[in-house]
Amino acid sequence: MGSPNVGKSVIFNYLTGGRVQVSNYPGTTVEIARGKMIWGGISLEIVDTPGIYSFRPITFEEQVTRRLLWTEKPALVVHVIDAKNLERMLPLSFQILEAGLALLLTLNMMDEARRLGLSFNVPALERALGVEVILATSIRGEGLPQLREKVTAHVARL
Amino acid sequence: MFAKEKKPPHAPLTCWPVHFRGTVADLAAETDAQLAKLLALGIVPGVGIHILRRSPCWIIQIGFTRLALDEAMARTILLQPAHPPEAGSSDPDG
Amino acid sequence: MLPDFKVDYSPTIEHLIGRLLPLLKGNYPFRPRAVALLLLQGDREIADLTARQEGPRFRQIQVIVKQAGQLSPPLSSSIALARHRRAQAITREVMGKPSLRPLGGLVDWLTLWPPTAFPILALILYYGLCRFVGGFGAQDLVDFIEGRVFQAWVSPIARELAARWLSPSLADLVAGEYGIITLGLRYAVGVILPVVGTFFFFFSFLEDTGYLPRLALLADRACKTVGLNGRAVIPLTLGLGCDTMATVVTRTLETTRERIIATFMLALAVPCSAQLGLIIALLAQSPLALGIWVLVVGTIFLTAGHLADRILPGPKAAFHMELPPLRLPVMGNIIMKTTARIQWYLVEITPVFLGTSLLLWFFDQRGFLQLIIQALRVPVQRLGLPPDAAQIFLLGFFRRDYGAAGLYDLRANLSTAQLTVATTTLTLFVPCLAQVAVMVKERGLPVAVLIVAAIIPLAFLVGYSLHHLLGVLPL
Repeated sequence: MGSPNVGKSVIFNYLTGGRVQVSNYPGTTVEIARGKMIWGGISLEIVDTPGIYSFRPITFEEQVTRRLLWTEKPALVVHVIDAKNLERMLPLSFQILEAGLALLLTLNMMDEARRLGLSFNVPALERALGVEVILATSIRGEGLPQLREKVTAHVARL
Repeated sequence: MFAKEKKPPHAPLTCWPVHFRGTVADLAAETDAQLAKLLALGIVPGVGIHILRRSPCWIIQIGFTRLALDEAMARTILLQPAHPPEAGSSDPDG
Repeated sequence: MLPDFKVDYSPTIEHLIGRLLPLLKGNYPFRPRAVALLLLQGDREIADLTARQEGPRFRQIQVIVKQAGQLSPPLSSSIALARHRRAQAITREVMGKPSLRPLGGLVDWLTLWPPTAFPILALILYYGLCRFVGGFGAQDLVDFIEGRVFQAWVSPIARELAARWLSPSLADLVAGEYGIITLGLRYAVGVILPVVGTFFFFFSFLEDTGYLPRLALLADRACKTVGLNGRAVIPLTLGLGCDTMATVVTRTLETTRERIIATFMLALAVPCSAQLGLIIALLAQSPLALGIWVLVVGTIFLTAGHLADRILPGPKAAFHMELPPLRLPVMGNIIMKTTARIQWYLVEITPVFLGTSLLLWFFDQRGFLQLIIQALRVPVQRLGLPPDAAQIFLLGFFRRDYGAAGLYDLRANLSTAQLTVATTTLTLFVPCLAQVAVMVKERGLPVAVLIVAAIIPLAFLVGYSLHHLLGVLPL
């Protein structure tokens, strides 16, 4: 999950290999894409959620995303954020952690961040949050194999 | 526009000139939904805002993001002049 | 196993959380601390859940939540502030020193500064819509695919083969006047696909360059006059491609009020690209006629929107939008987005065009069609059009663009004034079957029925007035 326009769908398509099933959330017209990922002998269901800014839903789509978190009880939440806007997007990571959900933070759009001269101390960020962090540029495929490994490893540990 | 010597504690974003750099002092949202929207966009007291344009609508920069706002929404953001980086800021928040 | 990450809120908030925690004994999808925080912020859905889980304890919870609701500054603001402080602290620690300079270069500035922004917008729309979609798509490509490929090859061969292998009534179904190949496939692939395809390409191009949010903010003021805001420009512009798809996209608008207005405007006064391209091609011979069409449809758009704004209750939604940097488009991305949209369109259109052909064929076989057309002749003649045009309006209901495409077949027999009246009425006339279906799905049956019931008489009324007005003008 993540805010709108941070590249969630590209990552989702990568993980699922495009084998996607789009369905409407029961009783609504909000579309939810589900796909299967099979990697390293493990098969997972991946759900792409509508964009969300915070746990306090404003739009209907955000409400659906939050309800998905309750009903699906995900083994892991991949929170995708726009790296250059780390500061603005971290509060949603906090809320995922406060809720008690397992989190894998992905700083996406690293190409733009680098162009702005930004660099990130990943170990420090991992320590501060107590979760794993990945740097990625999804439109170029950068960081995605690593993301897939971490997702599989996390699920294997359960 | 405000006279300088008056040093207003804060004023709506729409009262400040283009190129003004300020910090959000308060939010004057009328409804809970409006407030939630501002907060979700990262417009929170203490955040630095740079006013880039006022026409055709308000365009502001927060961090590395530019946001376009209409008059009604811009009015609910109260700004004060940016002060040098708050050293161990101790403003209350509750 | 899970990290014990905690944001420390102000003592007031922590105290309130501390009072709530012992009362939350039920089974929750989130940790109690998160539930408490959401309750304190007045979250209805969580409150309902808590009420179910805690039974009698909920009374006490409500008292605490009510207390929290009276705090100033509002609690949600303090909570967001605390989170932001923490985010700021972490970011400072882990992010390399950022050089915070104003974003945007010269080109960026030119697309925002009104004296240059509006001319640039006009140029983009002129070259994109009139020249590329209207000229290249609706004329060159249509001439080629419809004229060269279908009229010359596909249709005659289909007729020939059908006559040889099928019984007469089945042959009619495949290759007759309303045949699946000779009407359905010819319109879908020969007329509509090139126009819609070029439009989707143009739209994807704008999307990929990051121009769309600029379009939204430039149009914000204009949209406000019809009770919408700049955000609505995206579905409305997409409507120029396909109103059905645009009706689905009105979901991105924030309030139900805006969604209803946008759905109504799309159904009434936004011609889709297939229609638009054909209309421009039809009226191209007379700039005056094209001007009248633009004027009438534009006036209806503004008036109807203004009225809808007045009639529908509720506050106007404020406009805000992120403004991404302009960037050079990547051909691969544009093609990917265009293909995805065309795919969606084909999936949506195929059953409808097959169904339309089937239904028309069935009606034709049973003689119903003649009855409906007969019934439509009266209003059509009131518009000063030849009785044959009744068929176009019927087709127009199944797909708007089929209506316009039918008009294209008839154009030789119509005067410029008649063409102007016909195109205007068809533009306003009922949206196509697929769009009505989506309207029902997205907005619900009552709203959809109301919209359609408002549009039909309005379209004929405008056509009727225009017919009488044009009688006075030398056209």
